Amino acid sequence: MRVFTLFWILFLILPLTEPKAQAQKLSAQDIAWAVYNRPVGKDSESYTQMILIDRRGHKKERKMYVAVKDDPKARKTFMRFLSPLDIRNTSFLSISYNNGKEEQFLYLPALRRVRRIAGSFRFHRFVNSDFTYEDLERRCPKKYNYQLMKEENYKASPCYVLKCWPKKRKYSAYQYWVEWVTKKGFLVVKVDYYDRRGHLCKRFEALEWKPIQGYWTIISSKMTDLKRKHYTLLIVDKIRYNVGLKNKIFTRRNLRP
Amino acid sequence: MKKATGLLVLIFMVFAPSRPVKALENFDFKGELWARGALHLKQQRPYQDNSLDHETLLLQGEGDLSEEILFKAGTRLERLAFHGNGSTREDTRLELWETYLDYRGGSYQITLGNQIIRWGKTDEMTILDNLNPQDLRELMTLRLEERKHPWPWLRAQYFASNLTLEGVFTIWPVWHMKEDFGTDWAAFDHLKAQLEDIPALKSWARSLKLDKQRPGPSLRDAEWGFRLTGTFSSVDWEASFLHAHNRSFYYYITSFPIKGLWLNSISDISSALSRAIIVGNTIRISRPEDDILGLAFETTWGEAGLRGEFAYHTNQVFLRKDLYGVRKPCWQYVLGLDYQFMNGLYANLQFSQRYIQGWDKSILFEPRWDSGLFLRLSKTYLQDFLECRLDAYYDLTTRMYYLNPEVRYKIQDEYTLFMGLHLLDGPAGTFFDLYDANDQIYVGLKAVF
Repeated sequence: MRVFTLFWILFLILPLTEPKAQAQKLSAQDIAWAVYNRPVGKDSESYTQMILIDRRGHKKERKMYVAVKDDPKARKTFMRFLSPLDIRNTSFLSISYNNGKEEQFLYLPALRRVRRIAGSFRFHRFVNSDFTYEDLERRCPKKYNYQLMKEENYKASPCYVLKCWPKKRKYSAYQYWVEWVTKKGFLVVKVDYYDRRGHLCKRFEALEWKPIQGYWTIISSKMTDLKRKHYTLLIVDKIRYNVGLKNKIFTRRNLRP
Repeated sequence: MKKATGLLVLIFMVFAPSRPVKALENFDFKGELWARGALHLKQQRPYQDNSLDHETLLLQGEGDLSEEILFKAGTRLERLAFHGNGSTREDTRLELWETYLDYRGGSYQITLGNQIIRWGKTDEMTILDNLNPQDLRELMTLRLEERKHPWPWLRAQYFASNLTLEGVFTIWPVWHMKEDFGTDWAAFDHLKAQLEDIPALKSWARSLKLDKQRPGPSLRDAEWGFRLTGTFSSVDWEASFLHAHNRSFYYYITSFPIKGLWLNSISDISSALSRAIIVGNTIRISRPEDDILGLAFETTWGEAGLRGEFAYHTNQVFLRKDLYGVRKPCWQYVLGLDYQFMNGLYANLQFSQRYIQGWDKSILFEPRWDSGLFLRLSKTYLQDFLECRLDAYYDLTTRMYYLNPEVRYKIQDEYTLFMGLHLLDGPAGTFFDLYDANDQIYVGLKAVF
């Protein structure tokens, strides 16, 4: 079973506060930090579906429950798969400390064991989808280099276009990627990924985003594998912010249903 | 059946609600069908089986009785059949599967009933996962999670901020499932059939039997243990103690009806009979106690996962060359490292070493020091729907090995087809040498609904 880095929630929950220094010229690093530090409320919970569509148009569906909570030290993400049956009740806990350190735990019902997950798993496919764990994580700007390439509109939203590449090879499976960040809300709404040979291999596109309870949220998005011609849709069915989630949800004990 | 009834009564008595329960909430039902057929690749021994088939149907339901209490119930229908020598030996059973009540209080949790409990931190090769009986009727050719059967335990856990204390208790001593005679994987192989072919021994061989002296449920024969787990600086650790009965693969034979045997391998037994004296027809087996002290850890090291277990047995059971059981203290450790390469290859390497205290040359198969390597390599294709995997074990001391290459393909999320090989062998006199002729090719299907 694949291991998860769960900060993909970043793509789902993208709250916005009006930037104070909008008038100032932002550097590429400033924009990266603005994406990283975007407030997401005290906590949130969502029900999300992932639809895998192959080149023949065949569909496969995964449904999951996701809870996120910030505390002064870390952002904690808990996930439990609701379907399909073969991965149902598989659960994940990810703790992303503000100093860049990460801890991840996986519970596989068949093994009845909570397993601590190593970082080498992050470059691999997330439950058969076109997302890798790396694609879904909350990227700490300390680990990457950024270059502001240009400013342009994406789906009528003014965006910064950043080129990003890892400071160390082990931080990413990509040579570099280009991302479109909305000026309003610092949402990453499009990403072109280039493999280690420098070939464009994948594309992430936000299809719909809107404010929910005052927080900008990507409602649906698409990741396309440009080589293999299949894609994955990620759709948020229901999301609530600031629901008062208890700390006990984000424990290893809770991984076992 | 008595065990199941007693268990259900006990569960009811402990968890009986003070007010009527309206109905199960959030009721969830699931089922699983698993089937595997295997064909032997070699036919080099008399009485050998040609093939086997193994099927299970699991039905499981669970729901919340209240906010704190979860109820789970399951049953499993199983059939295992060995084919060969013009006959089929079939074992069909209906078992109570995971059936328990689980109470979750604020900082504690109590689970009572038939359950599967996992102790230890390492993966496939674990030496601390001793709380459930294993189905060894096909030796270790099933995966660990497929071999484990639920067992009635009372389990209590207390969760402090960075520590968890766990206690387990059962009045039913755990006992692995094994065949005694008449299959290629049985403890005594096809010995009976072999002996029946010797005219002078025919009637004696037919009457040969095992008296397993299986202890009934009692406080005297109860098993119990506790475990403390915690995390220190990103290292998960555990310390455990388990008062158990024999968990070894070997029977503890207290009386063997043939005297004067001195074997280097069980396959020698029919030829060794010529110099032996028959004194009865019953092999008596008892279940000595064995206390297991365990330590384990799990952490990450760079981009890799690192795990380890240590176990000290006060009375591990081994077999002597006269086929009597012997108990020896021994210790063993396992160290494991796993890593996922950028190209998708997954590798999991485990090294184990065991030392038998007070070892002497009369012990069959097992050397004083025994070291082994387990390797799992796996790579996925077609968006992870196709998995190619190799499990390999090589004993560095005795040079015996086990190989299990397997291909798994998910036709749909709910349906998985798999096929592979079980190849095992070892030099003469080693444990795997007994199963040299058991190489097999298998194909199977798993469906969840």
